[in-house]
Amino acid sequence: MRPKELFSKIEQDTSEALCGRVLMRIKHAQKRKALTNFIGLGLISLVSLSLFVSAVNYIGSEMQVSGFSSYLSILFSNSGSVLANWREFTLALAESLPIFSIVLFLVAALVFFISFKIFIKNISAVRLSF
Amino acid sequence: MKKSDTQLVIEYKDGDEEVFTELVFRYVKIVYNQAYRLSKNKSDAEDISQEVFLKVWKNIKKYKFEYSFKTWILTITRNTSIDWLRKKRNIVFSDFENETGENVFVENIVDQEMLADELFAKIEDAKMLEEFLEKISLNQSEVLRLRYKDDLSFEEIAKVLNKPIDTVKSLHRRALMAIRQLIN
Repeated sequence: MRPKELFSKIEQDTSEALCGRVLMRIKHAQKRKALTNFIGLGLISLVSLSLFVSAVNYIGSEMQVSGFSSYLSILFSNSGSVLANWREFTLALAESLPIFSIVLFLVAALVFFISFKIFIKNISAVRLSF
Repeated sequence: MKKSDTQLVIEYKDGDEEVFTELVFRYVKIVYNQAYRLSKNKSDAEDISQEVFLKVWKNIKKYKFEYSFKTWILTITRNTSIDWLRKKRNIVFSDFENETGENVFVENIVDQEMLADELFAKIEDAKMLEEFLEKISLNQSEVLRLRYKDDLSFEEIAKVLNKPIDTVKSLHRRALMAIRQLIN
């Protein structure tokens, strides 16, 4: 008898239920993972939303304080003088830009949109698992 | 036409979760048998098999096709079996690691012309083979089973057993010599 044939004869048979148990175990693990992701991402989305709202308020107040919003209103109300002194105006506008709060706002926006996008995607995974 | 393991894994990674069921059906017997060989207990072998497929499911996205899927899953099975048995304290490490204490007389007989086909042709039936496999070391019997039942190359067996390829070939040669000795 060839080795392969001989060795296949000493194989144990698996019980019929084993496949079912394996698949059931994986299904439970999938449900657990989907639920954990759903809750985790939900919380992250909520936290990042509140940070995003705070960042919006912060950037608004910083623009007031730095004078950036005043320069912007001059640009629209008195464009003639702005054009005549465009170099000085541009410099003043750049200096008054609240860089830190803008960066903070962009980061908060990015985190919120990404986490929210993944959270929405995960809703379908949770629905399929349950 | 039956899809290859690689195709199934690619499809799974692309989002087709149903193909995992196909992989389970394809490998449950192989995994169970390897777990049984090591644990010698049906209930443990079933528990180990479930653990193995759970690990495969968790890590399949990290599988990089460096080795065949069969090799990868058999490696996981072996490692999971060892960890399981270690927890149950059933394991005797010398069963896996001790390659000394071989019969010097057997060591010195090198029948270069004896092929495995010819050797196994002398074995009358599966029961006799099973008895011989019980009498040789666990490492040696593992090498023979992985080679002749699971069709793994020496390189793949080395990966599964986490041993150098020369050691695997040496184990293979010694296993055949030991069985030849038992037949005689």
